[in-house]
Amino acid sequence: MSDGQIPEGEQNPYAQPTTENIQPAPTNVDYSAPVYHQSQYIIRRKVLKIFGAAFHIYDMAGNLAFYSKQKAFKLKEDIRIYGDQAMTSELLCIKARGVIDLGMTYDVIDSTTQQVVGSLRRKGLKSILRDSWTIQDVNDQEIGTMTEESGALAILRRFIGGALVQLVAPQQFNGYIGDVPVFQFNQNRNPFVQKITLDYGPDVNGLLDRRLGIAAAALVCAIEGRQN
Amino acid sequence: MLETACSQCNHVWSVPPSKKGGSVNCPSCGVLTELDGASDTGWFYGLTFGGFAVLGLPFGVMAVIGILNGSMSMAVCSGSIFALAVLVLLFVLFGS
Ligand SMILES: [Zn+2]
Repeated sequence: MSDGQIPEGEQNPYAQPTTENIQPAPTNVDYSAPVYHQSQYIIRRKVLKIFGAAFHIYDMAGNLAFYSKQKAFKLKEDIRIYGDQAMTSELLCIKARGVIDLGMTYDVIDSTTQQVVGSLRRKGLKSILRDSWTIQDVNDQEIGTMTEESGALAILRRFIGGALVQLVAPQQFNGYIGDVPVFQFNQNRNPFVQKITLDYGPDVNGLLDRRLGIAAAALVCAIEGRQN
Repeated sequence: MLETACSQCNHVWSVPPSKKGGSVNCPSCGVLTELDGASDTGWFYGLTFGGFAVLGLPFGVMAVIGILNGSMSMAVCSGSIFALAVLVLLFVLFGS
């Protein structure tokens, strides 16, 4: 080996930066934990919490599956999801990339491994009339979508008032990986109790990284709660 | 492309511009790295202080003019609106 060569197994520190390696190293985390793999959950949101919105996500047996808390007084939105209400076991971190809400991308980070698992991007202009999101992989490539159903009702909700329309036609979000349905979020009819049913039942082939699915629900709840 | 360096192993690599302000894992050691430059931070402060300068500050000036001219009603009215604008500014700055 000549002097100019780099020993085997070492990286050339002067190498041109590449983009093909931005995929994170494979994770060993056992995110197959049953808590991620219920087919249905219910989110209840504390309506009276002004700073740092918080909500509980229960499984269908009524056990607390996740507790989510939005950090108050942060310039960039920062939502954490814990396995318990005492906030001792942080599972996910959802961080906005910017400050202004329209068309924002939120990175979803697995707090147990510190790995970015993907991101969720709110389509700015489209979301003015009807909430519309893209689900992205770690390289910002679109892998799926999440859209508010019924454009006409979405417009009524924005211009007439959420509570009235909620009574007649509760908000509904459908999620897809490619064209395959993977989840459905349904708001309840009672405008005084913030409750959303999360149904991951359509994802029979396990196409959705459930961490992204839970993060999507938390974002919808946080953003819709703020808009209401 | 944005060039970024890992704080742990100094590895340098490129990420798409869309990642600005986001988080990425170093491809070499895996450590989580925050990318700076949230593109709209400038817009946020610009709009906040610009809005305050246009909608709030004139009432502060009017309150001072009211006090100087002995017009208490003008001073109180303008002063109240100015105080409200200051409160809104503080709320936006510290509540965001
Ligand atoms: Zn590194």
